[in-house]
Amino acid sequence: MNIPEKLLYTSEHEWVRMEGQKATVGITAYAQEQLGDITFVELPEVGKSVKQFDGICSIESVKAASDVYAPLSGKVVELNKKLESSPQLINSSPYQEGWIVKLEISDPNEKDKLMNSIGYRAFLNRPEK
Amino acid sequence: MESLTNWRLLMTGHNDAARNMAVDEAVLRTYVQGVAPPTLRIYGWQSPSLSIGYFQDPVRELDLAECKKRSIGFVRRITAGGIVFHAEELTYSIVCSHQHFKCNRSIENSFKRICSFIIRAYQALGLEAGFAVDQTEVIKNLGRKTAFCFSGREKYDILINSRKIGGNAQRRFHNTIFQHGSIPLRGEMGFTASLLRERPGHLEQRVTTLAEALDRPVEFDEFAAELIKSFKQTSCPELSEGDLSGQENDLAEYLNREKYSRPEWNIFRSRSGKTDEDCFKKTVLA
Repeated sequence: MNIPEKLLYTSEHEWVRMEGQKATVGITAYAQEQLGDITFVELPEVGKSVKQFDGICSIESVKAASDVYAPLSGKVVELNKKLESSPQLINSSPYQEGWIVKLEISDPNEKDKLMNSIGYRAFLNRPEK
Repeated sequence: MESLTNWRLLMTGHNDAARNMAVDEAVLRTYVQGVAPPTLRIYGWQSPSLSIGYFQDPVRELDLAECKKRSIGFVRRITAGGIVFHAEELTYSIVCSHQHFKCNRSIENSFKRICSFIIRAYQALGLEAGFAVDQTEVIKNLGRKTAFCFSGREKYDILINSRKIGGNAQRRFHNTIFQHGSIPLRGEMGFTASLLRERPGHLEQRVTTLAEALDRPVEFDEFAAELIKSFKQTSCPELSEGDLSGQENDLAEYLNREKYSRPEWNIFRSRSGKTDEDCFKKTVLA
């Protein structure tokens, strides 16, 4: 399973790439595999404020509606508009072309509640509770 | 820890579209709060109605003038998928966690495992039912997105004699699976097509109903009994009939009034970009 080293992860299978106060957010390779073929991504509006672990947008795959949760609190500052016409980019390139939103984060301390790649790999390998 | 074996059966009878969707969401939300048990609900529709998928735009997909002329209302579901015409049908909903069906978070696996009880119920009636993915002649068309639910084909849709019967869709909240599905007891697909802006061709050759497949009418109660028996055999022997709790009933009444009876949800959600959670918070805080 591809789990890039420099990213941070949530237990809901989102990843975050930090650049200063800006956080790029997407879903992990594991998440896209579990969702199956993604047919629609409903992006939020730029300017939307989100709290850590609240829903930030919705994804449709295989007749299921699922939420993507915000890994950190902040404000949406940029959207991956390519997903409107090519939602399958999340399947084919979850960590690069399939990024979903960029957030201007409001509390850097919240990063302590996220996992690094080693922690996320262990989380994925845990016995099912 | 929550029991993985003791399920509740809810038989809520025939209600209008808004009430039906409100009860489903009330059960889901109380389950997510850890208050309600895993639940199988079986219900019907008081009057013919359409439901549209969570992401659909009714203005783009439905022939609203025709719907009005024929007095057919519509409601937005919390599940994905396409338009369903609910008339002489049996609808079920299931609320549980993915541990109940041992399917991790895989959506395809969950459809496969959950829908097994429906296939078994069809087989108990003598029908040769199976998943689309197991029928080689239809594999090439799987996964194509369609506005009308029954005309689409996903891997774990159920086919009888190569024709799709009913449809199933899900909403996921964290570890919780909410699935509902529609089983047409009888009816004419041509009528449904007349309510859509883009009318799917050859529907009669692609989809079927229970009465047509069996060549005899099947009553709601007869098939409900078959489904319950099959659910106990395939998924959960400990299924006990219960009622909606007071909390679920209050929440259902609230959601009926403030969400499922309002155009803000039924028509405009897909245009406003509000998520289901945004809409729920707004109604709860109102």
